[in-house]
Amino acid sequence: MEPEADLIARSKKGDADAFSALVSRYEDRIFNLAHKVCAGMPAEAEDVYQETFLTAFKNLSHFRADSNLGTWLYRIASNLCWMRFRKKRAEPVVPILDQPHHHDGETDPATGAHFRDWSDGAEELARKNVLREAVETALAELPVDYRLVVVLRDIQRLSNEETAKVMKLSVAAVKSRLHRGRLFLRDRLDQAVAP
Amino acid sequence: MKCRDMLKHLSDYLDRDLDPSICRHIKSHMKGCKPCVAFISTLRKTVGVLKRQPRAVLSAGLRARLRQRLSPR
Repeated sequence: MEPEADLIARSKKGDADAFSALVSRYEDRIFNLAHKVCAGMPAEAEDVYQETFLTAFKNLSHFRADSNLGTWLYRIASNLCWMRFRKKRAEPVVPILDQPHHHDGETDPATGAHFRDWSDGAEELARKNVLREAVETALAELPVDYRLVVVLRDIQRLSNEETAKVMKLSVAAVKSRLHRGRLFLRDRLDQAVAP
Repeated sequence: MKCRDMLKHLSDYLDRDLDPSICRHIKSHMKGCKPCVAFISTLRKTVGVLKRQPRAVLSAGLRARLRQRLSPR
């Protein structure tokens, strides 16, 4: 397999075949990111996928050789998603950090009356697609700033550090958004499995 | 450690990215707090479901359309 640096150098000279080889290495990951962030809007996901590589090709001369191409492409795709959702609709408010979990002094910790544990049945629910569909719906309700971090970390499996580079955030900010996003999704899944 | 104090550490706890002393406090707290056990279990499952979301399939037609747009005219 030709080294990535060689493909980038050839692409910068206008070699379309070299750039196509780079596209092949990253397109599935970029499309998956776009598909998950643009949940329920397949046409938007297709646009983000195509625009990411068209933008990259156009701006490849600005790409620094010591940078990571995957990070750069994820950043372009994330920006394209972000701009679409900023234009499209008012963002809902994410519940404050401790809102879904407020049983201090309010319930008997021994009975756990206010908290259902559906984790034991989660595998069966996942097999039935209940949880997968609920996650897709919940992701679409999550503000895009949080959704991008959750998708990059938990679906694309980037590290906190890699996600911070893509989003141009501190690692602390990534962790904070990830945590709030996960709490929001847990809350939504809890409602989805409610009898 | 109170429930509310524990909550802010739970993602780091699940990611095993937490100071060992705080981990010990969380484990100790969970021994006596059934709601927190339920909360952590369902949060862990939520992250698990996210990680197992099926990958989106890129169609051959869409791949071809991109190549067409990238090809020199």
